[in-house]
Amino acid sequence: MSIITLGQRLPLIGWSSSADRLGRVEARRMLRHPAYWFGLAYLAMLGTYAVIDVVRGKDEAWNIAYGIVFLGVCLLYAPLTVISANRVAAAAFRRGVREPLDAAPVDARQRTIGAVLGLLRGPVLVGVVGMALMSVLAPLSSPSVGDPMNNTAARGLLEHMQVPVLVLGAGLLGIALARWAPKPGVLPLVVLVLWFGTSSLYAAVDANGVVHAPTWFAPWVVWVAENAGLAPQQPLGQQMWHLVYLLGLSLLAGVAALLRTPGTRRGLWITAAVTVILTGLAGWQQLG
Amino acid sequence: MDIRLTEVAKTYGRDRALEPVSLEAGQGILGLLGPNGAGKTTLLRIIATVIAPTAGQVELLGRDIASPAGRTEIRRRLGYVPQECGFPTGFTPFEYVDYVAILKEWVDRRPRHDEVRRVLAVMGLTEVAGRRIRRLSGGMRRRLVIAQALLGDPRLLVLDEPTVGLDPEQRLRFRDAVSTLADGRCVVVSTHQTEDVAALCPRVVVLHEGAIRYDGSPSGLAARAEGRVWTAADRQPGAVLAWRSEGGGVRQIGVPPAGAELVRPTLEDGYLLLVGGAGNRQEVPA
Repeated sequence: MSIITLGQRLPLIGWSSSADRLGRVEARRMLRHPAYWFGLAYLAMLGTYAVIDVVRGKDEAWNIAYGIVFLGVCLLYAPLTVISANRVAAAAFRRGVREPLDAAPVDARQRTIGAVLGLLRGPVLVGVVGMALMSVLAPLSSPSVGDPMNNTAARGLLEHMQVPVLVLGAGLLGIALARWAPKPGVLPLVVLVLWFGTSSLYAAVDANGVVHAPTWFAPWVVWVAENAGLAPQQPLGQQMWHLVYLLGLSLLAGVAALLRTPGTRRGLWITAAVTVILTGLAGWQQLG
Repeated sequence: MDIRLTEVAKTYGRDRALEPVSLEAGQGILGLLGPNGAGKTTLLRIIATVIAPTAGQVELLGRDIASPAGRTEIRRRLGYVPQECGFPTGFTPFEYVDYVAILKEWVDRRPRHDEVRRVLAVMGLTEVAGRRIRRLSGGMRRRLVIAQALLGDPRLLVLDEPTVGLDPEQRLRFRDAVSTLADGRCVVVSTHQTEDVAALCPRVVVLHEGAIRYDGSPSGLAARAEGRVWTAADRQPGAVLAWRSEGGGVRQIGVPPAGAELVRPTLEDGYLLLVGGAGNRQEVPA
């Protein structure tokens, strides 16, 4: 007779040790997703150009290193995480694939929790490493003389903390989309809408690096100006509220994903309501 | 009883897929026969706890599927092979069965991997365990679906058209595996293959147009065609179905003419007579 170790469930949300184990598998699947290879290739190309610039004395090595990590995590890894998390979360829910899995004791709710845990253990961890690297590199780098939009050294911890939150939010959005709209074409459409919507909000960062109100509502870091430079450090209070705002949006995406699964929904609706209020409050407070 | 269905019905919108059906089954193999659209898959999906019935009560392994706790408990002791099954992209057979094993609450890595290797070996997939699933043949994929259902020695096995796509040797291997598995557990097999039912099942249920038309032994079903099967040189007017048989004559089912050369009916004859046509179904003696 085989040994079956039964998971201990937390009845409110459905977490179990099986969901935890599933999280490890999903983390591996997300990290190995081919979407990241595209990002890595692009980053390798940029890195090559950057090294050439350093060798030619056009820029400082630390600035370049910071810029590569920043670009890699915020502008490549986070958007690609929408794809990897979505594909991994959708894979076991596709029509035809899910039928035998639906007859397993680890239900759709726990599988979704497994995907979220996978996101935390995989891509978000990469975001945390990126944040740590940026925090180490920022003090070593120096602002480019005469370029007010390249304030690498001026970045603070609260701003850097937004980096893994970006990855978290992107992944949770991907998982929520996998649950609500697993049809082909929905994911690229949402990514495009998000990309162009965010771009238009960024137009509200002017040439002097002043961040105007609409930009704060972008589900992204606000310290990247339209011309790809880095805006001056924002007031600490605003940074903190923007971090809360981003976390709130991320949490809402996670709750949306869980609401699509069978099981008790009361706790989720309460969480969603509280999060909407907190996110709205943070959205208003971040304007300063 | 491992399976107890009481007046279970299922409708999809206005379409009634399953009329109120009552069925009980204990240990052993129960064969489910029926033409396409008879409601077999709907019934099996209800027994596999994948869909809920529109009406009626379903008790499996002593638990009611209506309660979430009961459903989870049933699923811990359930193996299910759906009629059609896709696979997540990029998986190998080992990874896929391992993934299902996690969903079946095999948390500890070592015993889980041992179990995955065991079921892959039972279905003869050890050699291809590390190959991408998309590179496997249709028969191998079918065996893979069966392999995942065998994880953890399930007490209740629900197999929907398990032998579709298997070659004759694999079908025989499957029969061997299922007849071995039948000891101490309840196995429900749905199939179009009357030979599989005749070889495996001491009890057969015929489902037609969403209702149970026959519930009994395979020999009893064959006996229903007693006096209704004959051979002749050509098709005759009373035949509902007729086909050329091995001896060169035409084997016919229906109302034989006087003096017809009657032959011993098979399970297939009984089944065909039962579902062969609405007008003729009434002519079958009870």
